[in-house]
Amino acid sequence: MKKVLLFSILTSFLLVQSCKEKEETPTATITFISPAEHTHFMAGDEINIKATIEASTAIHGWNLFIIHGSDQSILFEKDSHEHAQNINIDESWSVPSPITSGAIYVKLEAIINHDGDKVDKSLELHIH
Amino acid sequence: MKQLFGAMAICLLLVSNSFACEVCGCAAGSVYSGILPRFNKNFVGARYFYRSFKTQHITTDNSELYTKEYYHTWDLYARFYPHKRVQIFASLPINHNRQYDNGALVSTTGIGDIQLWANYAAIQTSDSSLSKIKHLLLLGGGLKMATGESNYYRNGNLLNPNLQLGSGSWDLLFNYMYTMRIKGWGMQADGYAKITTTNPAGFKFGNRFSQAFRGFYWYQKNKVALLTHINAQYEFAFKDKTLGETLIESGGHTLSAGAGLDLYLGRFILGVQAQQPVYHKQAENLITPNTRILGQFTVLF
Repeated sequence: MKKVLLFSILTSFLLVQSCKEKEETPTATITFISPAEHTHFMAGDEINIKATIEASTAIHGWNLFIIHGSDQSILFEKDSHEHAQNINIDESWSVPSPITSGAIYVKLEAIINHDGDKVDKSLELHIH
Repeated sequence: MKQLFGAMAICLLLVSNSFACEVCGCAAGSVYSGILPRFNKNFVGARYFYRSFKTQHITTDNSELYTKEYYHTWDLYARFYPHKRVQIFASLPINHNRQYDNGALVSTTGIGDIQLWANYAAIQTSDSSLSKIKHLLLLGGGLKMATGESNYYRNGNLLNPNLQLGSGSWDLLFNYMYTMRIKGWGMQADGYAKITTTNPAGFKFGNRFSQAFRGFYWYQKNKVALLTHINAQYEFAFKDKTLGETLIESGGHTLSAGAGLDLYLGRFILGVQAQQPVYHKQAENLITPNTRILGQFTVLF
């Protein structure tokens, strides 16, 4: 009888194992359309960020950050739980005044799944 | 005897594998019972329950995004008779939930929600040797406790309530079961209701109802008996709510048909059953349920 019970447990375990499928993690390509890399902006200027995400299959959304290079502080943050394979991003941010001059980084993350897999790309700009 | 057990176990293996890895979705199950063995005896046993779903996620560019969910439950269950007309049931599930999402596997494993309930035999003619038609009507109710983890985080994100090991809520269970038997032939009608409450995170699974009709044939020779059965089951779930807001993409109904075979060897029972959804509309048609499989091993005493 112990053998039967053991076999039953083994059987259901095998079913669990048989359901372990291997799925490829999708790829995503991020392209910044504007502004151009290393563009300079003054306090008060509006920065219009246009970008595209093209993924091999639909993904779970995106995060957009503007980070100050001097202290890594987040100046702007936007996220979207938009499910799509091809995503267009069109966001604007006004450079506050006053602000410490230097490099800032526009970082765009494509959220591949809900388990933390992401593809990201950054763009360096300069503010004065 | 050992060969018979072996054959049944191999059968279970073959059936299981043949249904495994179909496309899959979200746990919206009601209380499951099925045909319970030898109504007048105590038992302890273990059941294995497998369900899978395929969930479609709405996209903004008409591309396709699916996740697949697989739910495995090993359920230790028991029935005791404190009185000849009263049955007490206890169920301790151990869950293993898996979701495949764009190359990532999210899984949870652990103890689920314990259920305790009692049935009262309102009509019971099975003991009467004069009656050709035997009736049994059980009416019952119980409690589903919040013993399973419902606050499971992964990478800083709270998992979907359907992937949690428990609902986090204390729910009320109600059921009835009517069985009629003429010699070896019989039918059973059983219905279940789960009245849910809101969990500490503010999530409330919708109330669930289930109605099943089963037909069976009992064949016995010496100490070995076979119970073959077919069934049709309708399940309905109201929509879930989170922080008081109704989740549009939840709830729904499913009509399933199934068949099974139980082998009785003295006081031991080995059974397998499969159920196929034949009509469904779950979460506004975003969730597709697949074949379910149930295996059980029970010891009467």
